[in-house]
Amino acid sequence: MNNRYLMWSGRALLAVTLVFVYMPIFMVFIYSFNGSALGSVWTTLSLRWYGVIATQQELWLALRNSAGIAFAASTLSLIAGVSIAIVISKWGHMAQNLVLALLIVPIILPDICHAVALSVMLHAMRIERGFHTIVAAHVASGVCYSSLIMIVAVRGLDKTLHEAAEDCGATAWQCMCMVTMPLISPSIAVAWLMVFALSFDDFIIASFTKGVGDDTLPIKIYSRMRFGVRPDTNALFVILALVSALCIAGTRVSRASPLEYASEQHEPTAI
Amino acid sequence: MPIFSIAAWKSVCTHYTIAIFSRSICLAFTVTVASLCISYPCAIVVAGMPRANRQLILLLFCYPLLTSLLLRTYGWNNLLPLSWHGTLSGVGIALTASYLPFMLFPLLRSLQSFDPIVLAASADLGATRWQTFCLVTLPLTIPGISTGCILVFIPVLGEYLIPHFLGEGKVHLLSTLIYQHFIEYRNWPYACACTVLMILLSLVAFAFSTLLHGRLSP
Repeated sequence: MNNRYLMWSGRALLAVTLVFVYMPIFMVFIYSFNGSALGSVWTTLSLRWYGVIATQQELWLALRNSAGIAFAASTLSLIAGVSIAIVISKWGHMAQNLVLALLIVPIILPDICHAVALSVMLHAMRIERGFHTIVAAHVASGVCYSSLIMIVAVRGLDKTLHEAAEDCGATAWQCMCMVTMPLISPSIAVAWLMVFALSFDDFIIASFTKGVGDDTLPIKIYSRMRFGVRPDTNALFVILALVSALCIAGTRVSRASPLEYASEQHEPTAI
Repeated sequence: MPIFSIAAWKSVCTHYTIAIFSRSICLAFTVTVASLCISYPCAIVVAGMPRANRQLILLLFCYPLLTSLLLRTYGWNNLLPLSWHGTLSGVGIALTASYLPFMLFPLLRSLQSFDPIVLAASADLGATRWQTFCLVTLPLTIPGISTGCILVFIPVLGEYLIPHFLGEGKVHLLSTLIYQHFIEYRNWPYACACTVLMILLSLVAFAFSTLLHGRLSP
């Protein structure tokens, strides 16, 4: 009896917590269908703000900038991350742990510290600011995440597979392309998507390292939010939230078992 | 040639900055404790679920982290009663909701890392449920607690968007201070000194949790 009571109160707490976490998101969803021009007063159901959003060129431009920056940053961090993971997998235990510690510290520090540090560094090096500095800044923070994910993936590899490939006469390059890469491809997808999401979402680092007038989407939204509640912003958020839901679905699909994935591919070099 | 000066550090050591500094620490600490208190029972419930349900719940807690923080801030802006706008408690509530999943995941992981048979053994030996929790479950989950606390405390300390929008300029924290002085006033030495303080604080918190982890876990 007592046990049942405890179990149900636990479940109720879980449900309340989920509602607590999701409430702001629901709020934005609901208000995006609000017909009123005042953000905080509910009037009628309408799709009006989705139409308004579609006509705002500056937002689509900012979205394109953000997507481009996130794409470049995640691809570059992924290349660096995979290289770091493969290089240090051949090092001694102490050296590996040192690299791990050095990679973890930037992740632990708040983003705003990164942002200030990068901005001061850009100033000291007299680098002209623009989209390239935002990409560089996002790579500087994203590479820590991607290389940690890749180090874990490479550590989890079965070394005998690699040795077997070598025994069968594969060159180092063939081993890399036909054995290692297919095996770590799920982690590659996760690392890429993670840095993409972080970079796409980042406000603070971009706002400290951007040049004048280079607006990413979060910066654009931030400046709109500063001038009070605008109802079309809700519609924009809903579109973005749906995109991130698709991203989650993407990671779920790519998390198929690596061996299955490798055997499905007739030509692993095509990956 | 730059000239070295400790003027910025002198202004950091004034009453005004120290008050903001301690307010930031108190807020981050409160948010951490609150999310620990909420997450721990939730994690116990989730750990006891069948695998498929557990994965679904985890996915549900993951999704908000992938939506923009601006979105969640905007939602809280509509959600909080007007009288709570611009107060420390309003900011604290929004921060707790946003960073709660970071506490839940490590807790869940550490709850799943030990064999549940030790709980049955403890009950067999005559421990009450409360004793089992205090003497078995809690010590075994110290690694999860310390990781979760670090994952919440440090980002909350550096969080800028939520205090900025929900604080409406009335809640002064270390992060808003840094942003204001760096971007708006162009007072770089002062902002950098504050950033160094924040970095030191984060590292101290991290070292403390690692130490706690080593000292307390069996």
